[in-house]
Amino acid sequence: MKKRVLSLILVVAMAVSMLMACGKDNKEDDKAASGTNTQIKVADVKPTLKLLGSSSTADLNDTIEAKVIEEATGYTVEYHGLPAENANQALMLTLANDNDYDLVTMNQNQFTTLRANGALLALNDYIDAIAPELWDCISEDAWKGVSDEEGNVYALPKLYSAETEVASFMVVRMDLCRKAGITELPTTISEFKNMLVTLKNYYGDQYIILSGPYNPAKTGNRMNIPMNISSAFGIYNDWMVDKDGKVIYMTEHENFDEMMTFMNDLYKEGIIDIDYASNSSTGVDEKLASGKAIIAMNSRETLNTTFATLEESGLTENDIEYIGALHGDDGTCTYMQTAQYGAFTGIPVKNAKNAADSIAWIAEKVKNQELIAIGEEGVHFNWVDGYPVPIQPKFTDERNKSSSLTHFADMETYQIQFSARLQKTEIMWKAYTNCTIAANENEPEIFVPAYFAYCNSETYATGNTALLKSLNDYIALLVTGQRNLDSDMKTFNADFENFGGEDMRKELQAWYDAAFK
Amino acid sequence: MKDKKMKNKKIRSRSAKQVSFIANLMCIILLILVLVPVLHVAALAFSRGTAQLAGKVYLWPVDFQIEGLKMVMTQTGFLRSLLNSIYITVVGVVISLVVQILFAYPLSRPKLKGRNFLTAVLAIAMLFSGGLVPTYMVINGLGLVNTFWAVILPGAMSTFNMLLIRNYFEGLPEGVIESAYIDGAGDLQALFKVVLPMSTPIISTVSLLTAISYWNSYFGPSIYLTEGDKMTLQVFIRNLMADTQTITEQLERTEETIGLLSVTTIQSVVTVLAAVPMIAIYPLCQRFLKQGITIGSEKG
Repeated sequence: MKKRVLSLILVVAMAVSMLMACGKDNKEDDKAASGTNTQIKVADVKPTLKLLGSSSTADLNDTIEAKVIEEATGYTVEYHGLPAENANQALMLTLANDNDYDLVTMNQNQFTTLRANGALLALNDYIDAIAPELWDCISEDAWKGVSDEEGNVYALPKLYSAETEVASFMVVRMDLCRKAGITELPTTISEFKNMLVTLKNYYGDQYIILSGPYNPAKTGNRMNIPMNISSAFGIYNDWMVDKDGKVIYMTEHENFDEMMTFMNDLYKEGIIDIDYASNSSTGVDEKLASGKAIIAMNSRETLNTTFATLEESGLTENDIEYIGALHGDDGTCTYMQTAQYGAFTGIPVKNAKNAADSIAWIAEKVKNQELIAIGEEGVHFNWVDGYPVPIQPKFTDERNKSSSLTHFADMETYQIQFSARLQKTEIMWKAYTNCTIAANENEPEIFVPAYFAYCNSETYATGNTALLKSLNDYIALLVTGQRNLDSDMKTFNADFENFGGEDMRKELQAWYDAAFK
Repeated sequence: MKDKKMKNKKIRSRSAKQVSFIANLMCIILLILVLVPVLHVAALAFSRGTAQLAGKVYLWPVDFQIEGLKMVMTQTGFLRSLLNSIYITVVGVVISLVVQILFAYPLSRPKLKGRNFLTAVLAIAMLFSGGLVPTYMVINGLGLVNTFWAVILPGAMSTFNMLLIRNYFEGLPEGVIESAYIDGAGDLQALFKVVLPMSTPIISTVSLLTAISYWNSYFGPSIYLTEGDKMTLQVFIRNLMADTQTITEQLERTEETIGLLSVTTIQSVVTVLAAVPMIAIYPLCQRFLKQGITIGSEKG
């Protein structure tokens, strides 16, 4: 193991040093490539572009979606993919050596490393010259996260499909609730607790009253505490900003102890799943689908299959309801906006000869965004109440891989277009309508800005994953009573220090002061 | 005296039976430990998605379906990646055998000068590799990135396998080989017409070891092959395990397909399909594998 870690460190170090060398060697080329706006123009004959992207289970070049993009933009693009595993090594090695990729799609860590080592081209002049309309597609904050201090932009970011989605919610078996005399869904944390206690008193140990946690791969909660419960305590993220504008960590929030005590009490009363500390998201799904749990933390990713399973045991859509962001008894409700980066597409400094055409290709895709993302009206979808409803199976057959081929989008329209994927079934749309659309229409004030979603500081970008894992472990153990708030906080604080928590705090504070004060 | 011998024989017979019973019992327990997970995955692959999610599937399919198999065959890159892996494995095994046999035979000849030095050089190469970055630079410099040769050639020369072959060759009756030379055969004729026909066990063993190595290789293909149509099966499987969202969306094609399959059933189908070729080949080569390694280890 030590040998593997050592070899990995050496590989990354060598690759990074090569990248640095590449960056330095090509500074002049970079300048030449950037040039001035008047010198930048697309080629007379559109070149074939090569894009190195993330992993896929199919050859994207053969897909209908890729052909639609080719027809709409006039550019032929060869799509290559990094592996799901070893992606960082493969990317570093590829870019450090001679290659002819015109575009490269990266995750946050990869982007941070490549940008820091000067391996990516500054795109400002190209965007100005070829497609200035791209500046309006995403917010100024989102641009800041891909820029350096001088304002040079190094990537076109793909953002999360919805800016204000209540992606963390709970699925409720109303058929069982009605039997226990519960007909109304709770909106406050006290009502929620009353509901749980009523169910426990009625069913005893026959059912798991509340199963969780749920950490889906793409959407929703990243925490071992559901964000629609923490909302009632004013807690909305691992890193937050207090009323004085100071960056604080979740464990430092004034209501953290109260929240954990609330959860631990539920666990001690036998209401929360006994496997809370060890449950996987799939395990929670199975407990709900197999009829073992009455309420389960969930997200929209696997909702359709879960409901199909419940349907086979005689349930109807009316027997399923959703609990969105809960309020505190004093009316407190804070839910963080879901704005975040999904991926970054940049141009390698070493191969900037088609940079203008690469930007032109992206711009053409944005112009034809509706066709590429959701297809033709009447063929792939219909507009209903301002939202696109897919025509199946045509929509899935011909647009399923569109999101994999979206590298940058006009977010205002893309959020609506993406909702077509949520309208494939009534049950999924009901979850989105009841939790997200209702919150946006009735109480938009609950959404707290995602202050650090676009923060590009190096320590935070590369180190927060490990710190978050430590926090999640700590929370799971607090919920199940294996850790104690009074005696074990010191241990977590030591972890916080070891993972660079204080350095991150300084970076985040500087980011917040610059962006929001 | 005779009674004592009989008594001892009986005791030995009884203890042999006991040992045999315990050995058989252990084998059965091991078989169950190995077989149960395999059967479970196979059962998941052919069960309805809702049955899997409801936790009803154990060792036999529940609500049997083959739609998962159809979907994997027709709507993913499975077949392409399977063919790529077969191509790499077959070509890789052939090239490996040629290279290793041509290396092993001269080293097995007692008259070759400097054979110990050459063997030592190979042993050093076996223990110390050039490292990932230099290797990548060489492969890239030769223009092999995104060609199957980038995966085949670096694995063609396995020192361990070559030493197995050399040891086997050294164990062959020297008189037979000498007589071939006396009859006027050259080195190649002696190798191909006398030595190799006597070496099928070790050739089969090394072929199988090499085939398994190429078939299971992940790191090389993941680093050197980025073109979608060159993806190998192992890379495909790993990508599939990570790309659950695309599968989920594919399953939502119509109301009827929702519930018929789940992400787990699709992943199980691919796991089963990927294991089939090796499961099919292994029994055919197993007796050679055991024989070859035993004989190869007698000298050295």
